[in-house]
Amino acid sequence: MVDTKRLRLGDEDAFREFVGETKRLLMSVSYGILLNTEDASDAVQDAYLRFWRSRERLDSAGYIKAYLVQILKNVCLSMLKKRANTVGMDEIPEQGRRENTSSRLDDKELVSRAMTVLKEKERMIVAMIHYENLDSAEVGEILGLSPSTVRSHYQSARIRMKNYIIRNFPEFVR
Amino acid sequence: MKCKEIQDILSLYHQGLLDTDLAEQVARHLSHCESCKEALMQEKRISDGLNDLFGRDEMSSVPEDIAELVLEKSQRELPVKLHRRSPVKLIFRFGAVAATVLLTLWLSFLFRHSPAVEIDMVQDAPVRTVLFSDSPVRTPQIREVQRKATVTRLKENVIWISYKN
Ligand SMILES: [Zn+2]
Repeated sequence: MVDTKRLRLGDEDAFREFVGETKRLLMSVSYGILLNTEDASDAVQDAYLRFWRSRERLDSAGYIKAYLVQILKNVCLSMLKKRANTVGMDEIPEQGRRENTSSRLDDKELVSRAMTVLKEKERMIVAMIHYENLDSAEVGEILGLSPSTVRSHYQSARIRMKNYIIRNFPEFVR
Repeated sequence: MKCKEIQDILSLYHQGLLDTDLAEQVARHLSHCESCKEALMQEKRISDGLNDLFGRDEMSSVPEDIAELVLEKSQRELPVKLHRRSPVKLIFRFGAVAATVLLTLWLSFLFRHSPAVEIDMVQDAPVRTVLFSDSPVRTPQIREVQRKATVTRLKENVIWISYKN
């Protein structure tokens, strides 16, 4: 773990180290919320920039990963809001595509569609659990939730995903 | 446990997120229930899909040099005066401070004897007229040895003296 004090003092090497430790986590959370690689990458960069700018306010007693993920979440949510304001461009063609090619969708594409029925918090949890098998305690520490709350969010997320898939892609069951 | 209850926690079971007791119950049920076994296969496909989605390849789109990009960007954003202050400007600034200090020292040396008024003369009244034996400011045009001056007390240690010719 990178020393918070070094980050607060503006130690650039500490920042590089910190980015190396956290960028995959950040990318998966970002992708989990935005479901678009390019946007996700932009959001991650923006989140690091905001983090670095506010480094002097870092609390050494706090959990910096949690702080970083919180920043990222805010960046992603404002991106989603912006996207919602600029017409649902990706939703319209998706309906048509689904009818034509649903039988050819692989499971990865399928679960990516199913992710859209989840709330942001559920998406973050699913992303963190699947990016490298983080356990519910680690996810909980990052999100400020108890492990059992994380598990119950994950469970209800998976139930809704499964229902969505069965309803929209009945061939999945067969 | 009923099949419905089992199937609701199969995703947790498959991810290894269940407590040992519960996981054992599920395993026992699975050993003799075909429909729950099938449901487990579906959960496995969803889990695998998610692992693919969030697996290494998909996430490799983070720029390798993201830390450098961020550091560079944040440096560009800093106000110019904080970062690119030229040494010449620094010298000027230092010079100005030094000159002010020297000037103050020199003036206080020049006026070290300037006598003028006993401070208690102006203690009570804010404005008072006093007689000076000599002018603290040497102005050759002024001939009188004794002149009338108005002394105004501005602050505790500051007085304002005005002469009339
Ligand atoms: Zn069963």
